[in-house]
Amino acid sequence: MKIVVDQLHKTFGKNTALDGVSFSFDSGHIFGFVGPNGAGKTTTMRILSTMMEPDHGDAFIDGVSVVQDPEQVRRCIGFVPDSLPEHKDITVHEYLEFFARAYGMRGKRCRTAVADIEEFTGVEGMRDKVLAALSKGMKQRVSVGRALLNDPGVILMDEPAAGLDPRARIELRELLSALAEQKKAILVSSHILSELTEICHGVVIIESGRILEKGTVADIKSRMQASLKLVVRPLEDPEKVRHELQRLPTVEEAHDEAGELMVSIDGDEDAGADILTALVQQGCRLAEFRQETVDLEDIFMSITKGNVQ
Amino acid sequence: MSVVNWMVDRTNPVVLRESRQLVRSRFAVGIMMAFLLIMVVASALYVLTTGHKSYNAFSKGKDLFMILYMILGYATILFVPAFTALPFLGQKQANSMDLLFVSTIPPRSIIFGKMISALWMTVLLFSVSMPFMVLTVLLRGIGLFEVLLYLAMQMALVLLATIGCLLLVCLPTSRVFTGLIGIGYFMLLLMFPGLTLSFGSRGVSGEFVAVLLVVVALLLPMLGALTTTLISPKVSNRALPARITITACWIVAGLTTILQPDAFEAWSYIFVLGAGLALFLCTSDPSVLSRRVQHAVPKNAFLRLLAFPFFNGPVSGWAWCLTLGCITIGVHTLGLGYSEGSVLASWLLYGMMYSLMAVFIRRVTFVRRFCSEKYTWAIALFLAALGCILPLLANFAVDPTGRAKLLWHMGNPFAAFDKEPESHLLFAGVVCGLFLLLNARWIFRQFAAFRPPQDLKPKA
Repeated sequence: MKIVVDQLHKTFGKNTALDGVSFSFDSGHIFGFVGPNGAGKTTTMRILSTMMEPDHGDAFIDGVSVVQDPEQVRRCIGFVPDSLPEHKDITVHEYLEFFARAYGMRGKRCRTAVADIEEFTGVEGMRDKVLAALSKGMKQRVSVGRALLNDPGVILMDEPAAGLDPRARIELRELLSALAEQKKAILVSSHILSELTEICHGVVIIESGRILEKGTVADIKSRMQASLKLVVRPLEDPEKVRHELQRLPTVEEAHDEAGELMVSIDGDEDAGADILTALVQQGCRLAEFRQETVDLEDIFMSITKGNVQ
Repeated sequence: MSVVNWMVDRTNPVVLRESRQLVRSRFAVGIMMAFLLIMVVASALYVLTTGHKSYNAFSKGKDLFMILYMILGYATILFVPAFTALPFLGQKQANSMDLLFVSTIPPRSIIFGKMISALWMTVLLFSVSMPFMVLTVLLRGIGLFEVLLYLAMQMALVLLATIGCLLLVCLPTSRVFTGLIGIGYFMLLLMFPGLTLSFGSRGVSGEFVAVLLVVVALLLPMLGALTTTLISPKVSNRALPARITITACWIVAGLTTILQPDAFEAWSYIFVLGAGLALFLCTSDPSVLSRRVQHAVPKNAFLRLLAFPFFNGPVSGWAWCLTLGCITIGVHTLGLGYSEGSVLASWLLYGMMYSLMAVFIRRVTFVRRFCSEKYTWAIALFLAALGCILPLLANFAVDPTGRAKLLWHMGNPFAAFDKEPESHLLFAGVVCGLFLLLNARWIFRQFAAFRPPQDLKPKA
């Protein structure tokens, strides 16, 4: 199953919510959708879930247009909104059963689907509890379970980790990974970038309705990190170490930052290994020698400006 | 057991959920218990206080029934609509409705499910009151058939009140505005049991209840369709279910008047007056079709022409209202004569006149800067109000002592019912024609845009 978002445009009055948003991803992949508040994430999600229509452009779920055939699209998507179910008078089982019926399931099919989902999401032990009595993590599991009832190929999740404690986040992450293994295509919008870095195969960074970066996390990192950076923490005599570093031909720059030497080099990991060898041969004693990595948060902060629609 | 499972499986999911909530809700159980207690106390007090009096020995049952019926009336007319519609308001605000729209359940099933739940709740309250109703029959003064007629009447009114309440909570207005209308609606509901009781004191006939049931049976689908329209996604062809249902009701009601000729005049007046008001509402439809709706436009030119009145858009809406209105007026004129028809025609033309004026003002004047398309109905209503009041005020300024002459009534749709409808017809026709010309390009653009799109092709 392939999800193609093609040149989406959407305006609300004079505000442009989406301005030519395009990206695509395949089943079995978790795609992160990152952006500041008002960037256009929820608008894109709502268009993909057929609750809203773009002014121009289209999105296709397995070749089916969300504009032309929304009913068909609804059969193959599951949507997890940013709000959790809070009903005081309905149990977990009844909630799931209600939505299974809303998807047109009846009889044995309905019962089996609900039982399978309860087992998969790990809520079978609390199926008779009312929703309001559940923890946020459990409510989120129920919400994900509801979205999975019709066995969709695509799952859209709007801020699923918001408000969850660390344990619930880890459990959600495991749940998403399990879904990706089942060849589901998952689009997750989130502010919690550390979560996305660990589970996402690809990322779209959006701001003011425009895509700033897209691709796999590794690709974006390599694009953002033009030269390899090393962090060297000398055990003694940092000035000598810096001097030795600057003598090496592959070192472009080395400067001191709070007792650590930040080294930019012209070359790959082999060049880094050569530098380490050279330093040791020169008798420099090092407490730490590592490659500096950028995470999604760094990338996000460096390319977004915090603009809001 | 398997039969029960089969039935549960086929039950509308909304009905199932609401029924579960009803039996689990402490509020609902509390209301039931309070209702039962009030019934017991009222019956006991009546029997104890009137048991020794012999002057009403043959009407005790009727008297007690009236008391109990009043209690039942208030309990059902207030509780059932509130319990059905108010949670809906919460669901709308908590985005639960969005989740339903992502599923494959159609909006009409949601409204239908709500109404079935309301019916079930009413039956539950009726069941609680049944032993007391039987007691009234045993006390003499009222027969079982009469009791059933009263209950049927109450059931119809409760369902009508419930669909009205659902329509109210679905209105796309602010909470404050909904609250204000809600207070008005609540006051109206408070009058219902009193009205039915006043009918009851004179005795209720089977024919009256039958007419009431027919009217309610026609109103329920129409109001249900309007409610469905309000909860349907904005990008869908929301006009279609409402217009099809109302057209079907219009035909059925029209055919019913063949069996009941007394109702013919009521039928034509109700539908033409309704069409005149609907013209105002149609002005607020978005003039540009959503892409999803465009894809539903028939390719065949003839089918497109037939389908045009059933699609979103002000011009489509006007076409539908005018078609219904004109046919009704034609039938009315054939049945009751030209003068009667011209009254209705002038009403319809006045509706069209103010709608065209409102559209023109919103599109062309400074009003367009602060008034969006969806509030055009308010401009039309404002213009109609001005049209009714301003000429009279001007007349009063010119001649405070004299009665307003015909000229000073021009622009007032209600005045056409009073005298010289032909003059009103002429006046409304001329102004209508003028604004039709002024809006001609805008109207033509909508006709021209009513075709399926050719640009979108699904990608692999």
